[in-house]
Amino acid sequence: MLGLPESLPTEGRKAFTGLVCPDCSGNLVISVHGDHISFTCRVGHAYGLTELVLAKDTALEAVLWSAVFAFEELEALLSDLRTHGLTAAFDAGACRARAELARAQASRLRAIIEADRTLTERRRENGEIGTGAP
Amino acid sequence: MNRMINRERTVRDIFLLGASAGGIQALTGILKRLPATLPATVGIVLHRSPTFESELDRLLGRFSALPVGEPADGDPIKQGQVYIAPRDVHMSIQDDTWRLHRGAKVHFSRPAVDPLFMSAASNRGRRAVGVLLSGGGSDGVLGLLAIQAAGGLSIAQQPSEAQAPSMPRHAISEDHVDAVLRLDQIASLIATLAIGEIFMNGK
Repeated sequence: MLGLPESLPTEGRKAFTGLVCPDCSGNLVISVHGDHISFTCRVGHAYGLTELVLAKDTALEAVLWSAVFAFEELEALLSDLRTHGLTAAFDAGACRARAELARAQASRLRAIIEADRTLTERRRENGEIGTGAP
Repeated sequence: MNRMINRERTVRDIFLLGASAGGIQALTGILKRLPATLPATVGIVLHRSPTFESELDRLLGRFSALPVGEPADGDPIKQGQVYIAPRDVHMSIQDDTWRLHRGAKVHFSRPAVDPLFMSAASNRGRRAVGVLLSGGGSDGVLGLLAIQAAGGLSIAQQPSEAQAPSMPRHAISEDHVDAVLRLDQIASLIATLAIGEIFMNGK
């Protein structure tokens, strides 16, 4: 699955990418304007190259937190079902094991977030020309 | 509002400064007035971009007689030093060391002021002084309450002097801070409390 099209569009032309907009998940279109590379989606969100990379990198964390939440929510639900004696539909041992696994998976994901390090924009020397930088 | 601060002459040797928008001006206004011989530690959280490298420590260091640097996780907390939280991690105090932790963002921010203030309250108690400076939002407000509850002191920058007065205003209205001071007064309060003297909050 491609991120960028196999060949970049020529000056002023547009091409679909394999990427989605960090703001609305719409398809992103790439266009080249001299030294500036631009990404836009259907509704008008627009990103320079650096901005897109940083937005994608930053968005990863939110996805991971959603996964942490889902595991911790499941664990809380299963534990509370046990408390209220509502686990008749499941094997009691399997239910407890699933709750414990969910908790362990959540803490693994927390460790992944803790260890993750986002990219930062390289410091530019005076006069250096950039591409798509804000 | 107390006219005499630190009447009981407690040595307060860790000062935590929290700031957001307008914070650089506020921080330099304090740091440039601190003596090179300060027998205390200064810890700073300034809301900053997680994705752009900035040389905040070098920038602030130009205004400070004390060395300014970003700690690494596990670094010992030393006196006569100014520490500033690096980008994208919370900075907190655990026993005698700095801890850097990439936990959930607090008030949209990482680093955030509350984790630093809270950890100072539970690890340093009466020795801690929290100062909330220029900034928007309400990060640091809960942290100041924790410091006060642990016997430490809470200070807010005079809002009329702050470029973004929302953070100190929240602190004043919700925290019942021990004093509302100008930057020059905050600097002299730090120097006074670090040697266990009484600070006179005169007009």
